[in-house]
Formats: sequence, structure tokens, C-alpha cells
Amino acid sequence: MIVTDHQLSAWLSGSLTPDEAARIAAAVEADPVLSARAERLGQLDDLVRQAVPLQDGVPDALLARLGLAPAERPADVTDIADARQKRAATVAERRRPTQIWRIAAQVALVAGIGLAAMQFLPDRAPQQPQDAYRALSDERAPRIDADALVLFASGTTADQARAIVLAAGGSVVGSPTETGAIRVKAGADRDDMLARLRARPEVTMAESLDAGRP
Amino acid sequence: MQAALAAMPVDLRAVMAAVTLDGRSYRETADILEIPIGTVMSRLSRARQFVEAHVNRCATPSQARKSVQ
Repeated sequence: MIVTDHQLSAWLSGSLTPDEAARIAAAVEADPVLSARAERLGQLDDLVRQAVPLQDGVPDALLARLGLAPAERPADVTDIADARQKRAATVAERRRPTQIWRIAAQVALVAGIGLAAMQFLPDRAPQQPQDAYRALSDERAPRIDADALVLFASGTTADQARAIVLAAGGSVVGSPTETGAIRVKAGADRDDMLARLRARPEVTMAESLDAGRP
Repeated sequence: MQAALAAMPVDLRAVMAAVTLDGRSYRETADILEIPIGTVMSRLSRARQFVEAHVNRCATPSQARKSVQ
């Protein structure tokens, strides 16, 4: 049985019918190459989710400052932290309009697209779900003046992070993103700096900001 | 990874955000973005391939393994 990446993606996303899913599962079980490919695609999804943590990444205050839909507090909840835990606990809560905007803001911030990316569709109130996803499609925002984004392991202090960046030949630019990634300006050689950063155990991710651009 | 998301073609990024990050089904994503469900499927697959290509291009093999672990 030939299984394409499209089918594997749909299977991983849980978007196949039970019969189709069972067929793909059986094929993956029987074929080591296909199994490895499915695992690889799943790892890539994990990588994306890890890069864009949803919970608590974009504060309500920032959403409000961006002019996005304000968080609606459930009538039976008075504590905002408790409200966030409840929001994470159910699929229904994940799909509230406010959460969609949080995801849009989070992706924009993590990707370094910039807050200006949220100022879009000026002739239309950003209240519909499709608008939130289309916010991710805005390419007009200016690029942040940094060469790389660096994500440190939890427990790394800001002073430690700055020292590591400095020792690698870079300097911290501005404030961290809402997800804690640090924008870095390289000194003489960006690639050398990235290599040194990636060699550090405290560094989870060190990525060039313009890598992969046409 | 941040660079990959920033560099990803806009249509692919929107579908990946809806399905991978927001947990939407293909049908829901198709309805929200007003595109055929087959397009959702192909765009998501291409988005994953884009991320994979980025990981492979921007890291040495050992670094790529570190990234996905």
C-alpha cells in the first residue's frame, strides 16, 4: 500500500475517517520506512508546538493593547490563572475566539513577524476566526533588527543568557519575545555565533532569522 | 524554528496554525479559511515539508537531531 505524505499528515492530524485511519495505521505498523516517516512528521509537529507554546504566552494585556478580542471571563471564575487552567483543560475552551487570537499573536511574536503584523485588515473588525488565521499571513510588517532568535532552556536566567550570547560573539537586542526567545545581533560572523550557541547545553534553539527566505 | 515560521509561505502558515497549533479538524479549517478540504490537506503537508527542509538546511545532521528530540 502506497501512503503519501498528505495521507500521513491527515492521519497524524486525526482527520481521516475511522476506516481510513485504520488502513494507514496498519500500513505504518507493517512498514518500518513508513513508520519512521510518520514519526519524523510527528516530531516536526512537536517542534512547531514547542516553538509556539499557547498557554500564558500572550498576556491578556498584550491582546488588549493590540486591539484584539478581550478575554471573556467565565461567570463562575474570578481568578485569571484558574481561568487559564480551565481554558487549557477543554477542547471547547481552546477554540474560543479569544484563544484563536492568542494563537495568532503568539505565532506572530515567536516568528519575529512583529506586532505590526497584527494591525491588518483595517476595514474589517478582527472578530471572525478566519481573520485570526489570516493575521498569520500578513507580510507587511517590518523585520526586527536582529540576526537570530535564541531560546534557552528553562531555568536559565537573563544574566546567564546574556553572558552566553556575549561569549558566543553576539549581543542581545531589545527585550525577549513573549515566549522568552531572545533576539540576538551577531558580531563578525553570524554562523560562527550560531554554532557556538548551539553547542551550549543551555541553548534549546538558535536560529537565523533570515534562513530559509528566498 | 522561529525563522521557519517567519519564512513559511503565508497560506501554509495559516493552515499549520489552525490544524497543528489550534487543533482544528480539516473540515473546520476548510470552513474557516474558505478553501477546499483537499487544499487544507495539501497545504498542511507542504507546511510540514517546509519545516523539515528548513530544519535540514539550517542545521548540521547532529543539530537537526537535537532539534527534534
